[in-house]
Amino acid sequence: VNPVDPSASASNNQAFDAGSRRGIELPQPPGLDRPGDYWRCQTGHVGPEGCGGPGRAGRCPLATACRPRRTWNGRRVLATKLGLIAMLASILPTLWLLTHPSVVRPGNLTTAHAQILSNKTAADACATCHEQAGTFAQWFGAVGAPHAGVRQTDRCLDCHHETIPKSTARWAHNLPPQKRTDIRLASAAATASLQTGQDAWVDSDDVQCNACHREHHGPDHSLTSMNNQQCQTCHEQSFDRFADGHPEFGDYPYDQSPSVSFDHRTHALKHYPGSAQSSKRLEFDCRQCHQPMATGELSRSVSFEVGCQECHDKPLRTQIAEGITLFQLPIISRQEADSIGGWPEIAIGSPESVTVPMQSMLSSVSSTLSNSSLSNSPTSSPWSAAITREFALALASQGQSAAVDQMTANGVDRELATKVFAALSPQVISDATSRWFGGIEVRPVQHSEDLLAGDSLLASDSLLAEDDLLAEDSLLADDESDDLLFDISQPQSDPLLMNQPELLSGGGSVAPPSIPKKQSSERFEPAKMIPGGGWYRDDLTLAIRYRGGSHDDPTLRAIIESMHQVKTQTSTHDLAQTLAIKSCLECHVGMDPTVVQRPMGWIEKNRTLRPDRSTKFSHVPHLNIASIADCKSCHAISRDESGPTVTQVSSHGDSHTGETKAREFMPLGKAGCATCHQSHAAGDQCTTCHRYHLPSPITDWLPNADF
Amino acid sequence: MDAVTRGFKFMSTTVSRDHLNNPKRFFNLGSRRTLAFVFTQAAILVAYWLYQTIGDRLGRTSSYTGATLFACLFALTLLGVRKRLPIAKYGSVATWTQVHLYMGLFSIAVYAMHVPRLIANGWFESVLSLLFLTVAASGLYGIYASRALPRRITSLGDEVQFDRFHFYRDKIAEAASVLVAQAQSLQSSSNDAVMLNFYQSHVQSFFQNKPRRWRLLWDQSSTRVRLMQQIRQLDRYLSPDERMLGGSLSALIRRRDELDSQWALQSRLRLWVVVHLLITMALIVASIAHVAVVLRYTR
Repeated sequence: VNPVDPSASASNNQAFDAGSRRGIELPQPPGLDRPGDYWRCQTGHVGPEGCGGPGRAGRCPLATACRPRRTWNGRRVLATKLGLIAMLASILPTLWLLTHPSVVRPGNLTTAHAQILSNKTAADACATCHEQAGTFAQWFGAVGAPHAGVRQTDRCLDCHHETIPKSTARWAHNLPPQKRTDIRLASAAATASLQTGQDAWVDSDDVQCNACHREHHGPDHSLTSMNNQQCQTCHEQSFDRFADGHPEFGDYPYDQSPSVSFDHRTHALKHYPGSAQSSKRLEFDCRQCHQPMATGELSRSVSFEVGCQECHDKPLRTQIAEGITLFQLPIISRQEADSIGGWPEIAIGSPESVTVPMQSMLSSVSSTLSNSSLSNSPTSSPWSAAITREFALALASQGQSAAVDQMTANGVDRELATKVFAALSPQVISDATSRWFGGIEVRPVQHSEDLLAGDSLLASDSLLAEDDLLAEDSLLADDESDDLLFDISQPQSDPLLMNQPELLSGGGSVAPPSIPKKQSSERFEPAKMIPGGGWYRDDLTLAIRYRGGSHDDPTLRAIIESMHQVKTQTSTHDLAQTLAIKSCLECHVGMDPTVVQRPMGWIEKNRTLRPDRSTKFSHVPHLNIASIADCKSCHAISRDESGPTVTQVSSHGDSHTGETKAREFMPLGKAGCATCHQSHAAGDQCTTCHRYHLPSPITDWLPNADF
Repeated sequence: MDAVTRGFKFMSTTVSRDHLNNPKRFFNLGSRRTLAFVFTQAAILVAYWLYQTIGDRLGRTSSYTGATLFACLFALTLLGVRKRLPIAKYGSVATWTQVHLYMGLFSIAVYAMHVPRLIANGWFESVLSLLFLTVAASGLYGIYASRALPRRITSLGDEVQFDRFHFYRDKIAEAASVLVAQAQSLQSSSNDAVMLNFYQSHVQSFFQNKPRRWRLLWDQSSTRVRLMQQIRQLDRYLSPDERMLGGSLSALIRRRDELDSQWALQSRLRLWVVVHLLITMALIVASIAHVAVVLRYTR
């Protein structure tokens, strides 16, 4: 190879470029070429001098047939046909797959539901919430008549009826239509505008569970998530943000009547500062009473012993020592005393009726006393001397059960009534009746028939039963006519037995001997003799009384609880005014039976999920923020005595007592909350503070509920 | 027009877009696209407003978006019906294609509203999601391909009918053989069979074989560049006449490469259509099943 001289490179390039631009004749495509055909000839015989090309079936017309190939168009049509065939062929397998719940399940359930259904087969798990179909025919239609009308909500409520009653579950907010209308009208009156507020695409009287609770979005999906717009679809006062548009709180959260009364203002501004001069100086620290519980939430109160005893124990003991009178003998005239018989001399004089508030708990239609006079006595009027005597004798003879029966007949639960008289010894009553009524036998005396029936010797003596002599003996035939066979149930009729009741009582039922009378100068002093409280006999007033012992006295507690159960609660108002009871109710306002529509209870309950409110609040996350960790940063004590007063109002808007007092706390402003509760910070979702499902049963807290 | 140019004037199927850009038309191409895009965006906004409104009013947004999506799916298939069924020739295919394109974009937006996540959790639902996403992705590629590839094809010369690529490949190979035969006739003592040897060892396979499949995915002309460089390196061993033949051979190599590029681009468009169609068929079946399941288990 001889390299070309470099000096000739220019001419070389010119030759190459000339060659690259040189045209080469190429034949035109055959005239019979058909671009839309499905087949083409591979041999190039198609043309004026060849054959006409392969037919639509792809066959070569020549004798020595070649093998035509599919054009692109042919291949595309083939692919389309195959695709259609595959599509049609896949329909049945797809339908078959759709009968497998594990295949069609759109997503995993939330953790709670998944755990409940974990022990079921896939089909049964689906059938828990969805209609179950076994065949294709059922699959595309209604399952059957037995399940007609059964909706998914019904299946939800099969499990959730414990928390949401089926009767109210479909109502918006679980409120009856009339109640919602009332609330709406009240809201309209407050805002001076009435809007329909009916933009929701659900029937407010038939809200299905799945309108809000959407399942199959994974284990971590929140079933209760609602956005603000969804809430405001129905609510009339719509606003964009909590910070801008949400109404002020007003008196919230101080508009709730507490179960235990405690005036924060006077304690913080008056009593605690006043203790500075004493040896035990007290520091008003909110956390002393509102201590974190196991859940982290603050307790509503502390026990009496921890928080109140130091200052309030002695006054309380003095007040409850006044006690409760069970009954008291009235002063009656000599004539009336003679007609009754056995009436104590010191209770004879100018007639003076005695009103004993405790009797309002006892007097009622009774079957426990043989004398009908007591049962017919009006509940509000003082007992007559005869009734009082009869009740005393019954109590002495029957023990606690006589009083318990009386309370039970008056509507009080027997267990609770038993607690009222648990500390009452029948011997106290027996002693009292013996002392006051002159040693009258008070023990129940069995009737003669009972004695005879109880005598095994007589019962088993066939001689007596079959003795014609006895049967025909007129002496025995009419025992009422025979003084020897007097009714021994009437011991008064036999003066010989008057002071020997033991002769008429058999075994353990023998009445105790008459207690020797003590001198009046030896009056029983309950403060010394029963400082811890108890029932005692007061010979000065001829009364049976109860002396309260200390805070949380079980008898006084049971009496107050009973006051809520008696049929005629208005008759208990006098009892509530007695010093012992009043001293209890002064703080435990939640147990005052004269106040209706108040959350009942001895202790202050946690309000985080208080059932009588549609709002919820937890202190826990707020206490972690240093700037508001001090309670007073939100709950500022009102220092202005001449400032606005508030009427004690229960949580349901009913007036408590109509009393007004200085506001304990400054109003809790919304601005303080809105500092953090914004969409970009702590969130301003309606559901952060508001609950959709109002508690059940609604009648427990909703006034004037008419359903 | 020289012979080469005349010879490679493959067919007169090139679609001129000048009429679309004619300012005298009521809507030129740019305005039409802008208007269609704005209209699609407006439709998406309306759909989203309805979606929010229904959701805020505790309505079943999934039913709304699902029904919309299902209706769109069948409306999108009407383009194929229009193309294949002669009896349904309402409007031009071009109009149908534009409606198909923008409705596809609208469907993707509705799908985003319909699903809680991009790919659903359940077995069947995840398959359905993947099918839709695949169809949507192929559709988006189709938008790109329908915009970009025709320009590239046009830049490669006159558009060749797809079924005639093999014809022109054969003719170019024959022309190359003729050139080499001419070079052989010009051989001298100094360049003994240089051109023939080079052709047989490097160029012949390029002309006689079909283009490689990978050009469907990655269309580049590295072989052409390499061969043309090698021909230039032969210049010093060739006489001026042979160099002229070498230049002609380079021209044939360039033409063949352009033909292969055009084949790759056309194949890409055609394959995309087939894939889009087949996945759409599967999506239709799965969507019908999905609707049946929804109707079945909504109770």
